[in-house]
Amino acid sequence: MILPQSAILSAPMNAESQLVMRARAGDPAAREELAQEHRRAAYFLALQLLGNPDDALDVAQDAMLRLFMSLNRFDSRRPVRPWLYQIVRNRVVDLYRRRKVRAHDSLDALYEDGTPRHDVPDESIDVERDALRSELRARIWTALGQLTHAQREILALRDYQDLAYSEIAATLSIPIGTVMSRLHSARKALRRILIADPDFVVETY
Amino acid sequence: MASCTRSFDEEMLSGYLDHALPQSETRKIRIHLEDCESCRALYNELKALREAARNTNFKEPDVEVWPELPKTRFGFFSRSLGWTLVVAWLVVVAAYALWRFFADTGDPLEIFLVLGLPGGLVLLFLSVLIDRLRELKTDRYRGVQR
Repeated sequence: MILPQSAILSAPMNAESQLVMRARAGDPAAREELAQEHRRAAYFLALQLLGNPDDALDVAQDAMLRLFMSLNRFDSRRPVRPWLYQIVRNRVVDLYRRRKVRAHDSLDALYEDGTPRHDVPDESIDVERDALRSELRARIWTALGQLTHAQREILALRDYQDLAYSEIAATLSIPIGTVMSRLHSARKALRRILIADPDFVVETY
Repeated sequence: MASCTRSFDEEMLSGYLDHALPQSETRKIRIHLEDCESCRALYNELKALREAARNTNFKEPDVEVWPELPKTRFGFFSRSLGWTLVVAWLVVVAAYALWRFFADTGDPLEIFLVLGLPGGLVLLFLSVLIDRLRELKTDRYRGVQR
C-alpha cells in the first residue's frame, strides 16, 4: 500500500521527532545520537550515487554539517532521512557540476580487480553460490554507472537504501505514482545493460 | 511460449515486487504471474537484481573521519549575522556614494574609496551570474529538483 505524503505530516510525535527537538535545543547527547543514526545512510547514498568512496565521504561529511546547521529550520514532525537524502543528492549534483565529470566515469574507476573495493564478501559456507552472488552484485554496481543520474538515484533509494515509495516521493519531490514508473524504467534499463553481456546469467532467487 | 495477455501496466510488476500495491492489484498480478511465463521471467529477474542490490554490503568509514559537530548554535547565528551586516553595509555605502555622485559634492578620490569595493563586488557577482546562466542551457542536471 502506498502511503500518502500527508501520512508523514500527520504522524504523531515519535522518538525521532523528540530527538530532533532535543538536538535543536542544543543537547549534545541528542546531537551525537542523531549524527550516529544518520551519517552511515548519508555516506552510503553518496557512495551509491558517486561510486567513489573518497568523494562519498566528502559529500556525507558536508551533508551532516549542513543538516545540523539547518536544524532550526527543519519541521521536526517530518522524518529526518528524506531531508538528509535531499541534502546529499544536492551536494552530489553540485559536485558533478563543479568537476564536470560524468557519473559513470567515477564509478568505473572503482574497479581494479573486478570487485568493488567496498563490497564485503559473504561469509556463508556455500562458496560457489556466494561467488555467483558476489559477481552479480559487482556487475550490478558496474552497470549502475551506465544509467542516467535519475535512474541511478531512484535505484539507490529503493533497492539499496530500502526507502518506501512515499519516502522516495518526498526525497525526490515527485508524485508517488511517478516513483513506480521511474523505478520500473530504471530496473529495466539496468536489466538491459546486464543481459547485453552474452556471458551473463541472472540467478533467480 | 503463450503470448502475454496482461491487463495492467508493466510497471505494476515493480509495485508488486515492492509490496506497494493495493490488495486487489496484488491479487490480479499474482494470478497473472502464475499463467504468464514471460512476465514471470521478467519478474524473477527484477527480483534477483533487487535482492542482489539489497544484499550488497558496504564498508563503513572509520568513526574518526566524521567531523566534530558544531556544539553550539553560534556558528549558525554568526554566519547569518555576518551576511546581514555585509549586505546592509554594501547597500548603505552604495546608496551614500551614489547620492554624493549625483549631488556632485564629493571629490573623485572619496567616491572611488567608497564605491570601489561594492562596485567591484557587484561586477564580479554579475559576471558569475552570467556564466551560470550560460551553463544552465547545457546543464545535464537541470531536471533534478532541489
